[in-house]
Amino acid sequence: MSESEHEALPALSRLRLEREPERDLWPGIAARLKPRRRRWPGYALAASIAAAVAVGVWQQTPQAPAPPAVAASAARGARAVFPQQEALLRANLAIVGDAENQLQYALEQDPQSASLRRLLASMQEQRSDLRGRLERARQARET
Amino acid sequence: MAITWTADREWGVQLATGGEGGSAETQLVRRAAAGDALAFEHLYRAHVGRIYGLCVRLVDGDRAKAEQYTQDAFVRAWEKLDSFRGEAEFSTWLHRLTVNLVLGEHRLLRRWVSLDEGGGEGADGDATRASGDPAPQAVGDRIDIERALAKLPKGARTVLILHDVEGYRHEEIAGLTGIAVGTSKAQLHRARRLMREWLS
Repeated sequence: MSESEHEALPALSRLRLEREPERDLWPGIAARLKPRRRRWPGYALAASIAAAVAVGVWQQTPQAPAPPAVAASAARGARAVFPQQEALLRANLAIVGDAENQLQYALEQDPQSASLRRLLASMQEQRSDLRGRLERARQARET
Repeated sequence: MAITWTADREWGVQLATGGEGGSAETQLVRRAAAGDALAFEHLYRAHVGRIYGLCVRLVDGDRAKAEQYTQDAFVRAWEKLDSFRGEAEFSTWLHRLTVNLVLGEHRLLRRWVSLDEGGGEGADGDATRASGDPAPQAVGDRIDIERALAKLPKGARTVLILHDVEGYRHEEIAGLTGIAVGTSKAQLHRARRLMREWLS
């Protein structure tokens, strides 16, 4: 095999690569374009709003004082819980639960979405936090 | 989400004038991926010449087939836009999708190289009659590059075009069309040898 057979023919570089079709092909293409499958932004938006509402309501709830170092202080803090707090926490849990459901449905539609996964993880974290607070509120009430 | 048609007509101008064309095209791809058919039409207008030209070459100048494959390629591109992640240029992605659609899914290249290999160099009806036999329709001592290409066996011609004209590597040709890497190399060598004989 000669050396030149390892190289492309220079004449090929003169070939015309573009050609215009003799008729407009777009109408035939447009007629075959199927609507895209439903994407997630609507669900993500709803979930984000729900999350924002949940956080907003939660932040408005009276906060129990931070756990003090000594048991006596802890007991005083627990008793400071307002009567409405449990109901508010339950309402927030329900909102976060709805947001989670929507996000999980959205993820079924778009399993590769990193932003949906982050939102879902955030919702799960919030739910866990709210449950902990609810549990502490119950214990405070029973004390 | 339904197909949407926006009233925005400025994209074609941006693509045509270059400069900001790359980012404009990226935005068009995003809009098309979100269901905007007008954005996709702009992409079609920008790339149809290259894709149709490729299809004409892949189907031996059969314009009806080339039109059909061009339409199929753009419809497929619409369906697969979600999988376009922007690692390559949109034009490169579309080009590969077209090669795969025409030569891979229809197994054309596999069929052609199989025929070429099974019947020797004269197996293809348009091919040269024997190794080293110059094309009979020479213009003087030298024939036109297009005529020489047309006389190559289909498999060898297609590999030559993909490798030497379109810039594909043998591994890519194999991946897109289903032929073996070694077959691709052999077909390229054969095509170059014949072309050099005819064009010298």
